[in-house]
Amino acid sequence: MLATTALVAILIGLTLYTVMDGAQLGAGVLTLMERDDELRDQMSRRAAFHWDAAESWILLPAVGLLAALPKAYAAILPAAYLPVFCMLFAFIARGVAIEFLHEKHRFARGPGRVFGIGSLVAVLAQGAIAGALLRGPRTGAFGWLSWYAVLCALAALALQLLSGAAWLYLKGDTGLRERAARWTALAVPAVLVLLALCWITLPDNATRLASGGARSAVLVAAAVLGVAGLVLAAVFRAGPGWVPFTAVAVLKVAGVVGVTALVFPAVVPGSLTLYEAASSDSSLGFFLGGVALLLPVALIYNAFAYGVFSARFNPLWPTEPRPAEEVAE
Amino acid sequence: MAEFLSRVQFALTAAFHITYPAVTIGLSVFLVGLYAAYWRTGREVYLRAFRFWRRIFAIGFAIGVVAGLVLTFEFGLNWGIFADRAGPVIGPIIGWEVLTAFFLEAGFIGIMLYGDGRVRHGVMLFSCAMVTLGTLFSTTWILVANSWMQTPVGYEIVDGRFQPVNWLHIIFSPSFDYRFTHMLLGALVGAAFFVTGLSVWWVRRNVHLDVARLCLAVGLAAAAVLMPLQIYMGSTNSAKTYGARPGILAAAQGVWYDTTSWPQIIVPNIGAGPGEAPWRSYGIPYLGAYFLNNDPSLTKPISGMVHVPKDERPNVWIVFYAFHLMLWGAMVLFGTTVAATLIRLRGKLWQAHRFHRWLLWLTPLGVVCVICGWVTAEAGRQPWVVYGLLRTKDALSPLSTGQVVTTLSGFVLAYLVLCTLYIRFVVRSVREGPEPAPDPGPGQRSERGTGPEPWPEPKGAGV
Repeated sequence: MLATTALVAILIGLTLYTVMDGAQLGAGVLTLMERDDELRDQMSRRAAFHWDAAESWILLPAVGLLAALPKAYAAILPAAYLPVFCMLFAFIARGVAIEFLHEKHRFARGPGRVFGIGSLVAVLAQGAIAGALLRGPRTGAFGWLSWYAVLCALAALALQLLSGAAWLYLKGDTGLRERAARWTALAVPAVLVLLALCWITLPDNATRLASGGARSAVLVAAAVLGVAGLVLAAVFRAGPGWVPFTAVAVLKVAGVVGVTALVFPAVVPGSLTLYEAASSDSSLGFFLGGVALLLPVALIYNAFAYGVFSARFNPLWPTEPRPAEEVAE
Repeated sequence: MAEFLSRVQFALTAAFHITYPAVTIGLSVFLVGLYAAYWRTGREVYLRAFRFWRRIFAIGFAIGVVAGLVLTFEFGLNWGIFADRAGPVIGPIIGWEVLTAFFLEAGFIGIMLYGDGRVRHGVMLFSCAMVTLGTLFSTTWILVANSWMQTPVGYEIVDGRFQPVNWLHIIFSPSFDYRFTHMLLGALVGAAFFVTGLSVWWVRRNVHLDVARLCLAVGLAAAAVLMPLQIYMGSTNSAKTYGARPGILAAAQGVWYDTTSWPQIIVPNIGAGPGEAPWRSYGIPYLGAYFLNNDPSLTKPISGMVHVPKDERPNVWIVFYAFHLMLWGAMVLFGTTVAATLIRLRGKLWQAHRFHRWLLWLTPLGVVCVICGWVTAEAGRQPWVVYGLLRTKDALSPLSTGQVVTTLSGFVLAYLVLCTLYIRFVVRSVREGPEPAPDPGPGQRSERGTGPEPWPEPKGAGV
């Protein structure tokens, strides 16, 4: 029971991470596709407000695994040694580049490119890790590498590009919003095709879908929800700002729920179940107590911080406080 | 080979990470004070100082966060067996750190760094205070986890795994209180000398004098209060380690045979046969018995490495010299603090040019001492990862040498670049200095400050 609750906490952390940081990473990759320095500047300055808070969410699933399912942590990370370090290097380069970008008054191409490439590498690495995990980790330095991992990396890239576009649509000024709507239109078919391919080529998918009972029901529901999210994002790509972003978030929730339903009760497909990996009740209880007590608080002040920076982009804000006359108006 | 490289990699990443908190923890406390002073008095010198140090803080904080992220993952990546065996105890502790500290810092850092003109002064101060609180929580939980690894209690071993039995015992393990205090003071002292040293640069150039004098005065005052406490905590640390972990103490003090003297230099004993001391030590007679045994009769000897079983001995060269670099560094800092206080009492602080140059040279020393302290603690705990229970060589993930070589070279390269960037950034920022004081317009000199309010407080903005 406690083990299942811990798994739910880990999955909540994972979902929050892909929703929040996915948008930041996707926006980062999109800076590589934008030629206009002013728009790039706008896109990357936004990241300065939120990247730290967004990226920190990855720690919840990570320490959740370490605390609650230590065997899984010990099995997954060494098996994906190189891609995980790629992701960490990308995080380092990206985070530092953002702060240096924000130091400058005009868009600096050097840190700007590091920010974009760092985001790209991080997304690809995360997709590859997910692919390697779904296929079942193998030993060896390149045990994680397979065509399935490559496919998942591409799918992750398309998905995060979509969420980056939705995020910029929510936060950008008029010029950027037009651009974001176009990126959304381009990303949606790519996401649909790549996610469908990921599903079709997964071993055992048909038997699990047809196994009947709760698993089939959840899988069908997740697929319907995911497609609905994707369609909504496409249809309202130029509608109210929050719709595409929420639709992409729904798609991600559906994805996490669907994948969990697919592999449950395994936490490392092919080698480890939830119950084998779980630590003792005392350990789970202490960790879950912290989550129950502090996760709501963390959500409240994260919402508060997003609220402070809720307004659309204002070119005067990032570098200098607004002149007094302007505020007085 | 993979084990050795993994250890080097962990040492490198941990030392690199700790460099930044050693500055930013104290700096965040300083920033809260500066902003509170600005809010209370309305004097813009506080605001200009706040904004200057906030820039330095921002970059250091960003590097500290991403480098800290690396460590959390390395527990699983390189030390998978450690994660598996000790995860039930260490995992929830790091979990609490993430929930209390990381999220708190991350939630408010955006407002602290970029909230100017968007939030009221009260919210700004609150955000700064929350970031500071986050850094303090983080220090606490990390020291909880690390102290448990030094003095493990409150667990039982089931199927080779450490399972928690009593969380209060685990959190307040025997070495937690003094190790936590020692680290916290170390970080504050590190920041105090960092701020002092950089502010002195302006004093020597005769620029930005109002901000420079403010920061110099605060930095030296903080050092004057903290340094004596830190020396006391350091000696407590040594004394308590003495009974509990003899291997660490023998290595840190460089004692092979029992002795009452206090070794200060050790050199390899070339040509030593089996059973002979592998190093020669040169020390101060009787002081070892006095300082480490609290023995006023100067006769009770320190127990030497010779009593520690051969396969439980740490590397004496690393531990001894890291410890002594910290010790001598602390003595230099203490002496400087005393000198600064005397010079100040005589009212000559602003004219003491040679002393200013001395302070400039000491800028990184506090941080160096913190790093050396961690090297002493971590290398001293070897060959154990959980003292007395789990050996480092048994904690390693199944990795090939090539994998670790790849990532280790990546870290060496990335961290060299980052270090260079950070130092260049700090130097450039100090050269540029804080923003210039606003021109007091004709007849605008108010009683509270010298200039107009530098940024407006939003009215009715809700936050």
